[in-house]
Amino acid sequence: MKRSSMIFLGATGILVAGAWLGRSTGPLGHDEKANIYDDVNACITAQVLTRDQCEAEFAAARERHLAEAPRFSSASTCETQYGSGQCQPATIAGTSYFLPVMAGILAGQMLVNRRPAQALLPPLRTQQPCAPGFTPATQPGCLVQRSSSTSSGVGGWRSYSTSSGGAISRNTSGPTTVTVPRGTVTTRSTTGSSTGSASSSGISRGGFGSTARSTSASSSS
Amino acid sequence: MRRLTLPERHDWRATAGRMGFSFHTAEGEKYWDESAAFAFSLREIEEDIEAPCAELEAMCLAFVAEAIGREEILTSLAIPHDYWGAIHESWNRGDRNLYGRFDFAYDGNGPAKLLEYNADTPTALFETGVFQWVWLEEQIARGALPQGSDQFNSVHEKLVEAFRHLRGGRGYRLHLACARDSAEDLGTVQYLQECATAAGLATSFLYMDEIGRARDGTFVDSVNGEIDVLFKLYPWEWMFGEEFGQSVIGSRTQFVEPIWKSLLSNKALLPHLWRLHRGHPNLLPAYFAGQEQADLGADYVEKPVHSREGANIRLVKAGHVAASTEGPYGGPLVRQKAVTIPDFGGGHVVLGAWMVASEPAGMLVREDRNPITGNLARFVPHFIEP
Repeated sequence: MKRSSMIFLGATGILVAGAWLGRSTGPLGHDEKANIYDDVNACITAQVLTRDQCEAEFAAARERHLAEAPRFSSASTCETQYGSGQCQPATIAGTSYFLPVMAGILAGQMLVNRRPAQALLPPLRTQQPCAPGFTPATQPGCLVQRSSSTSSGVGGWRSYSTSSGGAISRNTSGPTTVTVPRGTVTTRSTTGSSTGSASSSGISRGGFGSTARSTSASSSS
Repeated sequence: MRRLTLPERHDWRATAGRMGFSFHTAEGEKYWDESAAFAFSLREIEEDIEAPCAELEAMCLAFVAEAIGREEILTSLAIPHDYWGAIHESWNRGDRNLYGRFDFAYDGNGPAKLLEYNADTPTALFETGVFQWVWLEEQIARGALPQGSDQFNSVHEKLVEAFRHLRGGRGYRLHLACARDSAEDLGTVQYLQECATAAGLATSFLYMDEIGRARDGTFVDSVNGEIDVLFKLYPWEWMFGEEFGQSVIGSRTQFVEPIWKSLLSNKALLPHLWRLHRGHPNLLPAYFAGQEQADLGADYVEKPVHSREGANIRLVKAGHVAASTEGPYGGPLVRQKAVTIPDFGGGHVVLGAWMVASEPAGMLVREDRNPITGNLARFVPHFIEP
């Protein structure tokens, strides 16, 4: 056969509510259940996975975290994004970086096609805060400051971000299960433009893209 | 090779919408056209397309190896002198390439003739790799095509595999970028992002103008995270002339396509290939303007070394301009012997053959009313007859 044997867009499931999947109404686009664990003990206590599985998932997530987390050349540029005390030094392939800490893992629940857990990062400071009276349950993707109470006083929320810049929150008084709605966590960076901090951080932008604007020609062929 | 008319799937627009294929109609004209299909024999695919692609790719890679050390060749390709060192380093480091598309004139009789190599920023990838594939599966299932029909199309599988190996099998974080305001470019990048995700990579998208540069020249994303590997659907020759271009030199960021691909995504490749492989059955005589030889003939196509989507091309017949297209491109010109672009009754047919990580991976057929294939060509799906 001279063609692909199978094409499974969004095969990676919950975290890939990318643009294709995000517009999809097919079976791949449905919400999925997942669990968030802040540490190995929380994972064991939840009794969804065995102790061995919890330890293996955390070890694998830590490795992925090193490979996939955003890297910064200084602690201050990292903390500008993730907040004070949320970054740690790491040496990767001989180069020193600062990475956001791993704040937990997100483990899918589906046994079929289950993938390794993904590392979660502290919430981005640029993430949109929840509007007054709203929680991530009613305003998907919004940021709740740690331990802040909901309007009904039922419990607190904790927010995280993914290595792609997506937002995810869980209710700390309930089970560790979260439903990840389509589009909540996208592969597209959803953080706002950080041009506001550009001058202070020494980052300049806009140095690519001018030819496309000036020729109004397509860059593709 | 033959063209046949086929019933359209009644629900293909809904399917396209569901899959995010928004640009199936462009500028009011149909782009995806499944009212027809091209049928090929397995022999035609394997002997006339697949094998020549592998051979042409090998010739292209050998050309890069030669060109990186030859000043007069780099000059003829209009590559700015500042970037020669970076190109040399990228090639010697073995920076892997992801994909490219050879465009051919082919009608089933005689060898396919290479028109050009879109080696840096080709599109029509999702349509080929996924939508055309779904079309085949559904048309077989619905009885419109015979059981056992096949397609030259492992584009999707090979892309996922190529992303896995871009860094020698190690995991990495991939950023993908394109220019704003093109649904087609965005669609292509989003599809590649899906492929990368399927390969287990962490990915993020940003627009080219969102890329940041730190004081030390490091490229960063919109949250100021360092960009390790950047897929850019944005031509190298444009980047060369832009403000951040110089920071590519010595950058820690790995670019995809790698900078050495700028030697292939260049119409000046054509006269060089002809110089190195004169008489090759899949090549057309080609020269730099002003250096013509007798075998160019009086009928030729003239194109700037850096034109795209059929812009700024002149078709000269017996010394007179028979057809031409407008466009924003200038620079050195190359001339290529004119070849009959076949017409099976639905317009001029150009066949595009995909290379993924330098391996033949699949094919698309486009039809255009104009003999110079432009951005309004229609995509007509193909199948291999059982």
